[in-house]
Amino acid sequence: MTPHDEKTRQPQAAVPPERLVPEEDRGAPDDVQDFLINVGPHHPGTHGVLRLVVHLDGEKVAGLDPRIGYMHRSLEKIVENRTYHQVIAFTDRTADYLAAMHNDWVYCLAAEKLLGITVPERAEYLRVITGEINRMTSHLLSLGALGLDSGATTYFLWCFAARERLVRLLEDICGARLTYVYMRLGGVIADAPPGWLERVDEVVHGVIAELPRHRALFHDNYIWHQRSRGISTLTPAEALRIGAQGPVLRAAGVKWDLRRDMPYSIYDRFEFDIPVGTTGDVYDRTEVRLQEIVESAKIIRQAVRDIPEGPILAKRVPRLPAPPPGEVYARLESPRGEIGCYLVSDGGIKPYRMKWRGASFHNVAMLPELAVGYTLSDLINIVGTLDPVMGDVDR
Amino acid sequence: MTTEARPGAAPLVPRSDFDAERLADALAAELGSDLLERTADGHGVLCLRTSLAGYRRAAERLRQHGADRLDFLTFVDWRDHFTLTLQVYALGSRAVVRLKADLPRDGVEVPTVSDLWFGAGWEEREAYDLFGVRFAGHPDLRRILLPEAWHGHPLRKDYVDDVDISRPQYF
Repeated sequence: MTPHDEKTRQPQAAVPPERLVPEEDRGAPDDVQDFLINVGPHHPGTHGVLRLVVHLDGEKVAGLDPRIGYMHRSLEKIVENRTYHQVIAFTDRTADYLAAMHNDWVYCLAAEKLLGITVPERAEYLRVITGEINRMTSHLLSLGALGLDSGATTYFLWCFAARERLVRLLEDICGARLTYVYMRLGGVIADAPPGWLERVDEVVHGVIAELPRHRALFHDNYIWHQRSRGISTLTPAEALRIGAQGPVLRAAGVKWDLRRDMPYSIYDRFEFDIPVGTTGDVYDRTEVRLQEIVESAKIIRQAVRDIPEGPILAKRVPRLPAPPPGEVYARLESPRGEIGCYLVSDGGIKPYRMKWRGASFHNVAMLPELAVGYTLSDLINIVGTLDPVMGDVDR
Repeated sequence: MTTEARPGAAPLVPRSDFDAERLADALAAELGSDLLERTADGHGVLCLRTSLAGYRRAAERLRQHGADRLDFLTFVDWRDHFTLTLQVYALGSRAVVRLKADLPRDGVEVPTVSDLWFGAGWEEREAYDLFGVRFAGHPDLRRILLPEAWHGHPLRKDYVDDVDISRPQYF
């Protein structure tokens, strides 16, 4: 009710706002749109304990500072106190746990170079098969979680249902569903159980046969197109400048995949394509991931067809290896980009120094370059398409 | 891509004529006595060891010659000195170069290379955080993995953890 003057019974004039708020507290009119907010560290959209200090101008991201380290366990210090065999149990838990096979693999590649161990043929094939199955599970999880972030819960459930069948394959060969510890220095720990290789082909291609249904539900969906096309575009030159890698680099139109361009293990024996995008936006990144699942299936089919009989573990790998002093570096293409392991030996039974190159660490580093200028709701999708695994960022 | 093709967007297949040996020759001529050692590690990596004074110039030449890809940047603590290690390669070639420079454990700043490789910005922050060596010219040198108030730099070999929650070590 409008206040009245006691004497005149006339309505009082409303108090102008400049008299209610002292002038020094009012701020410039432009500042009203400025916000500084924290996204995370506990936020479903950040895929782990990633904290983003976001400077918002209205709804647009004007500045971004990723704060990491909430899950730092100092993998590099831990392995300085473990023997070469013991390290394998740490690389798949402490680094990128959604692609544990690749993390164990890159460590084994480095340690095998250092020790001069040759891996038997059958073990190389088993590594490729399990590694590519792991890549499929990782991509399916990434896409599904992105669907969940953007409201496509059904798509998320479909991806996880498909992923579950692949995870069961890995469970059957190495007993674990996430942290496999399947690779060993000189090979792998267990041969495929009877009938497993035939089942691999069947399950993997069962999953591939479902992908058109996934595409119809999510990737070709009008709403998803509206939310992803033209968001966070990246030119090839810009991608190279910020050191983009993996699916993000390929989505920007750069045809670069370590499996083909700097082949490790036995990847030079397989025929597969490298899917690339054109604009590097959020849509292209999901598209590249979806097609990489298909390419992984191609590699798996060839590997299952060609796998020879024979031993799965190199003979004469010492129980307590003490490589000669030296240093090596191994790199491979993980589902998130290039991961690497730099190992320095001083001749002792423990690594003198290990440096882990995490793909997600570099992906999160380039997040400000990709997200500034887009809205806060886009930011969640951009984080989702970078697919950071905080274990790999913080190590 | 099987979705709609957009014109003028053929994929870029990186090609590079980056030649690590030729680069090393040029560096030897330019740096003179600052280039201390030139070896191959036997796995296709050319290792160059420079003095700390020549490190920045060597890095600039590497970048100019086309080594556009950063693998990692870190230190190794040899108890009496640190070794700065920077590894780069050129996208489109298989030539990898590892650049190393020795430095004393304390009281020295290392010139930054974060303006040459984007990824070096965070790698240097991490190296500073875990080893305690400052990078001169870095635009944003804060601790990255550990809290600002953390005592010490854990990857130094003489680091003693105040908060010992770990079990006794096996070895």
